[in-house]
Amino acid sequence: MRQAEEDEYREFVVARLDRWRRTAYLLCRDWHTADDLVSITLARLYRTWTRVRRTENLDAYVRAMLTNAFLDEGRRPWRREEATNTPPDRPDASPYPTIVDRAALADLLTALPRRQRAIVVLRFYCDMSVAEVAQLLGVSEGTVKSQAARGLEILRAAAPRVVQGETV
Amino acid sequence: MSLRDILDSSIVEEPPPFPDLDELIARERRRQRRIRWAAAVTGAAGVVGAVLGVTLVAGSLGRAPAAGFPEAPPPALESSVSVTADETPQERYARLSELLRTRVAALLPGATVTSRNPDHTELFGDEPPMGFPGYDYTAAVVEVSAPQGSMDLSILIVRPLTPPLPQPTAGVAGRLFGGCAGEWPTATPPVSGQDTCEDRPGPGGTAVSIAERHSEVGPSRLVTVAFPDGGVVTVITDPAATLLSPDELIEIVADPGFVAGRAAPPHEPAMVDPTDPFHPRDLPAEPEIGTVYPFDLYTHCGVDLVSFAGRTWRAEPPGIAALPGPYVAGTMQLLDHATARFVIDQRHVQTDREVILFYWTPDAEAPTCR
Repeated sequence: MRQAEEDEYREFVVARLDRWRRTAYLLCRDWHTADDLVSITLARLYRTWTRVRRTENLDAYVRAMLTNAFLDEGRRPWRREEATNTPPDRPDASPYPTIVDRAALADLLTALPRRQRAIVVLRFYCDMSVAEVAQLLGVSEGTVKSQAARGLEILRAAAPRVVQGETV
Repeated sequence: MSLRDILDSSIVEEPPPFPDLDELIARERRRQRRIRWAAAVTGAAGVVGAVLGVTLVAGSLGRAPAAGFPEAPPPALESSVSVTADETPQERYARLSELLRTRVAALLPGATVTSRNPDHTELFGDEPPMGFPGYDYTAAVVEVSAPQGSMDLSILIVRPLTPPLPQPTAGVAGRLFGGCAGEWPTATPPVSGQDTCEDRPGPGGTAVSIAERHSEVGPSRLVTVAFPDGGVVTVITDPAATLLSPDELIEIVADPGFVAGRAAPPHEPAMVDPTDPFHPRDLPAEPEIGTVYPFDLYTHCGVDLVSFAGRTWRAEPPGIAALPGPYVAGTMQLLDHATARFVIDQRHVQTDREVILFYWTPDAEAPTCR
């Protein structure tokens, strides 16, 4: 990679690093794993930068790499999630979402299956369209809609004060 | 408040500092460099060659030279620099850097050459062994900038560790270089359908190959110049870069100064006590690289494959004429982790051979006739 391209890569990464880390954190709810995912993504991006830097929607391309890194990680035996007998805490009946509610909501995200969690994060956190998410994950738009709807239902049921008025 | 904002604000935990981005970039740079250089060093053997490097090197010696070598060597090139016998590695890196700058400036007046490898204080520095023990590796990753444009060059210099070695193809660069032929350590034959390779005689008795390779890090152009003394210089560039053509790259690196100098310390004549066959001398379990040990080489079963220091070693060249046995006294010295040099004490045996090189051969076993 030429120096000018590397400078461009660095500038692109620095400008988006915080957002990617937060996205990765929402996907896995662990900063160390999140940073592993981002590091994997950045390394892959570096390797392909010369070829992809002029890609039309580079942000979506990187989000796809990050999401795939997350889904790939989940397929590794040591990353498989374990069932627990202890359900997550439910929020109280206060009418406004508090910071505790929000943290609980993010915790609830981890209760969703990995692919469904990815769909919810991409759709509602990264503001990607149904078509974009479907293309990124290689599934149909109907699958994205149904998975997003089910994910929202679960979140609403668990934290009704927090998740209001959001539509698929 | 949208779900996005809620999710964003749900991240109440303060993130730890992100791992160093500069370190990540440096690591990827090193990785790409190694992949490209592996293509230059291992040729068609690829990963298998890297694993079986020792065997491949030893097995390559008896083969005919590559097609690119001229039959009658033309007048040898003269180096544009003089090399002192006691040159230190750092002095050598400085000399190589100056040589490269001079050669580039001769073609591109006003051009600057800057290092892109932060690990090197000069343009050149050493590289760890790349799968083929018995050679030393010196490398540079530089950017050449001229008014008409810029271009990155990765330059890899490979030299036999202990010249002069027994050379079955004396007078030609038959040691490392295979041109486009497939089985030599630095051969660059086409691997994929997109790859190309062209052999040709180079200036002053050198042989040259120009290849294009496609690997996971993208396409690379490999311009390789092999010198009659066995040293090889490979320049790797982006095929799309046009500042310097392959012919101009050959002109830049076809200077014997790039492979000049001693790659390993000279050996001293062995002066040890005669062998006591009941108490033969062996190496310690963890011999130190560079230390000269008195040693009795077990020759009763031949020395093509022998065991010492708890490992199996293959002699180079294979098929050495029988030595008196059962032991020959001398000194053994590890030149690197996988190369050992045995110097025969010629006061105790009658043989014309003074030095035998041994390469660690993990996949072989010494004969058990002992």
